[in-house]
Amino acid sequence: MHSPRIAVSGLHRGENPQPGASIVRSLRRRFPNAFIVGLVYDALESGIYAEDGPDVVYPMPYPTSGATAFLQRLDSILEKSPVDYLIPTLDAEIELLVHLEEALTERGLRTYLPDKEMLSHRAKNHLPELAKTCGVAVPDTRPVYDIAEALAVAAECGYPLMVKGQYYDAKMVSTEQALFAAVFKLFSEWGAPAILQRCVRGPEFNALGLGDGEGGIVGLCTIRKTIISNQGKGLGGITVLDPRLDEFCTRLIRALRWRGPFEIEAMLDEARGEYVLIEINPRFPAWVDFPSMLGINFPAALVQMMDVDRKPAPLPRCAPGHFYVRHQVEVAGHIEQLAALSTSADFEALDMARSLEGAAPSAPTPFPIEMGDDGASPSNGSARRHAH
Amino acid sequence: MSTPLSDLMLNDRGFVFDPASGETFQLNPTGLRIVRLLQSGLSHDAALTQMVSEFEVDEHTAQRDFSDFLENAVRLGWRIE
Amino acid sequence: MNRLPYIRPNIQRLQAGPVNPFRLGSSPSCVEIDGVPVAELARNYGSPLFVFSEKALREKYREAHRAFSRRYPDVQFAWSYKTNYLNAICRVFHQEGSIAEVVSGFEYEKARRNGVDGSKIIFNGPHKERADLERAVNERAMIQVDNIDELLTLASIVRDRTEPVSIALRVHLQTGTHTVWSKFGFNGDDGEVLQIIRRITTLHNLRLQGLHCHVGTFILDPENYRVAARRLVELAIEAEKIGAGQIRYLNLGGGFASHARLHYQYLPPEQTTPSLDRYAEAICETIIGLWPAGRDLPRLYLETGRALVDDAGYLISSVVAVKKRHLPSQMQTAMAAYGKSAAVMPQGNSRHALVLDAGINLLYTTAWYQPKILPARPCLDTPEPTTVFGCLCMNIDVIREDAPLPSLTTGDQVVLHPVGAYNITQSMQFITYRPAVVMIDSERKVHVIRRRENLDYVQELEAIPEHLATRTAVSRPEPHILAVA
Ligand SMILES: Cc1ncc(COP(=O)(O)O)c(C=O)c1O
Repeated sequence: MHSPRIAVSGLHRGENPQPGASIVRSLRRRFPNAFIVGLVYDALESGIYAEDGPDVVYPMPYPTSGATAFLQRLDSILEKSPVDYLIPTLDAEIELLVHLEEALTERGLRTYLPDKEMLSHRAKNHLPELAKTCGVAVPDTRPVYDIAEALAVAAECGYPLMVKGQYYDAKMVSTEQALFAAVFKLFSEWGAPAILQRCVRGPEFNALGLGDGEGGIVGLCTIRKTIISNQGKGLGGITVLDPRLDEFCTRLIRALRWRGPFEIEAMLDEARGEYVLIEINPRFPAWVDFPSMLGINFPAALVQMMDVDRKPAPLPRCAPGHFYVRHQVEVAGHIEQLAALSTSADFEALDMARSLEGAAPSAPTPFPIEMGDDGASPSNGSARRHAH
Repeated sequence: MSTPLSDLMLNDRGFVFDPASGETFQLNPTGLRIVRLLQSGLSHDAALTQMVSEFEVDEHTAQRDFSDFLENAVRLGWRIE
Repeated sequence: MNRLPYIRPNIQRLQAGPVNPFRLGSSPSCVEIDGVPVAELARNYGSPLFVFSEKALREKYREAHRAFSRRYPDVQFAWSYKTNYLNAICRVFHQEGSIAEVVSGFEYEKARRNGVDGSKIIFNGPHKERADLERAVNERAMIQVDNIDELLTLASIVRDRTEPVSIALRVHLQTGTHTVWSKFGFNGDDGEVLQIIRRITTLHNLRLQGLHCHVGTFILDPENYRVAARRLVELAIEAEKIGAGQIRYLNLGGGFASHARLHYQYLPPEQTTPSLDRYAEAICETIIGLWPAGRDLPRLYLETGRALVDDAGYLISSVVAVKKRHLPSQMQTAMAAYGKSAAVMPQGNSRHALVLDAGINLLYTTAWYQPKILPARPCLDTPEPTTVFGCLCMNIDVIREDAPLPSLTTGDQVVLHPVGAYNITQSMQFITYRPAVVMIDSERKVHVIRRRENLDYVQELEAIPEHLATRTAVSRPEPHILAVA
């Protein structure tokens, strides 16, 4: 446990931040000797280049390419960088991984994920049924499979409307044209259906937690969003403690018998004066390192839960009144790092020299980026961390 | 505005950086070979002949792909003499 | 000197979009089908070529039959002719124990000639000619009545017979599918069916024996069948209360998904297509759970088409031209069909494209599904989004907008899969001949089950009016006609 080897995905912290980079930071707080393997989908994911980022990075096939492609790639990675724990952070990825529990176990990889049924019961297109079974309110939420259906829902619910992808992305639209464009884009990127949701007025709340798979919650942290970006992302939040919100979360997690990390997005509907369910994400939110800074480290608890025989003591609650604001910074990289990550697999069989001919003498690359066939070893990784 | 082939920075894996425009590119092995041959000063015809002798490809296919490739390179902002 | 393997030279711009050579996985290939090399099949039988695996057909049928018969005492499959009525295919299913499900006089006659007894034919569909109905009545086929006109025609046919004729009613239901196939049958949710059943009790010589519902096709959620089965049982109980007698069979139709992939389907079929066991569980559990105690369970009919035949069918085709396709940037995401930004143009505004020797006239189902397109030789280079055009002189002849493919060249063969359902029955002869169809048997022996078309076959039904019969040469237009123009 002193130097766990942990693979984490979703390292981008741009406008629409992914949770991976925050998870890596939290893990490093608890396990300074952890060896972190970054699984990335784009060479420009910012977390790759962060100072406290992963030790080694591998590009992965998109989940839409399916299990075979995913496992093939994973195997070639494991040969070079053995991993004990896997923390996926992207909805589409989790959607694929819940089908692969056996395959992952065979490879000695531990995960702590929901099963297919849990995942599907909380899917955005099944929210109304879920809300009904636990007696929580939900704004009108409808899956649409084509533009005609979308227009029909819009005619009924009126504008503005939220338009969401199955696994990612949400946009508020106020006109027919915007609806058309948004639905079509989401179909292309995330497949059908897209989900339309009636807009709710009121403050937004988020709950971060870990479900134990038996209906219980191992830890919960609730915040009110204090700064909201144009895209609806929380750029700031403050911890709150409201028994009604706790009860709301408890009911949902009990009904789902949720296993693993979750984020519940809720709003306090001004019209109804009660909390309404916006969505449940099957992963930690991007602000997961905030409670870790307060000493309540959810990613570290998750790693403990992945150790079959170790169930952690329940995590304490974050006291109300702590807040975070998102602070965006630049991270620096060099073209050689990009070169390593973007070189296509055609070359795996060829002998290669890493340096770019003609490149102006540059600062030595601070760490090697592994692209799949050679390069970084665990010791390189530690060396790099110690260098900082 | 276009960048002469000689100014492009590239490595043996076909990664290309155009220091003038700041753009990056990826060549596949055959593409890389063509760029290397042209950089070494061969004429188009000579480069094509060389490709056919090095790779398992018939002349018809090689020719089609060769001119496609160059056309693409020009569109992407490289100057091919 | 040993020459190196050739890959089409390529430059990819690493900009505006994910830079990740692994994003589309590696390039799988399909070198042989059931142990027979694809190259050999194309050499011996021509390209394009439809190929069916007899082994796959039989294994799938057995899997489906096992899934249901393990859970239910009285199950009968009926081969849905429209899904693929090549006689060899039908006979494989009949040999396995399937009866026939037909939707026209033509299909009925086909089933009879395949040796199926009239009483082993389920006669379905919205259009049944009076003569076909008469024959079906005489041969004791299982008629599934679609509409009131058909019911009244039947009533007039059976009026003077000495014994009653049994029929079933087709019903459409709200089962949670996103569209209800309300074109067919009677509404089972608003009382229309019960009204019709009451009417049947007043008609002479007609006995209601069964209820039928085909909820739709490619149903990815087995829960839809749970709802359909529950509603059919409820209707059966009400029918008996009304005085229609005991319902002897429930026909749950077809609709189970194959391993095809819909457009806009994010995860591949391996993760999304439910197992046949899950469908069987939804249907059988529901009927057994709700059927009144002490009553014989009704016989369960299934008209599964697609799920039995789709995965057993392949189309071999050859690359006849390599192209580039220029697309305006606003079309780029619009053309993506498999996930986030996977289809960002790597070559600026152009995309690789291929022309195959087969067109959408052979692949009607590509309007809804994206077949896998696999090179028939192993390829080392990474796949790139590639538009695959068919060979027709029509701009809409696009087989796939963006198949992930390694670089291919003319003469390369590819294998499209799965294509066994509906493509052959819905194909049309256009511009050129339709290809041969072969079936590989369990001993890897290849049998032609439909020959390639030829000019005589295509022209067989044509007739030339006498005044056009003599002049065969192209004549010159008269000068004065030109003057008019
Ligand atoms: C009445 C009926 N039964 C069975 C089928 C076969 O359906 P599938 O191929 O989806 O199993 C159809 C197809 O449209 C049908 O209309």
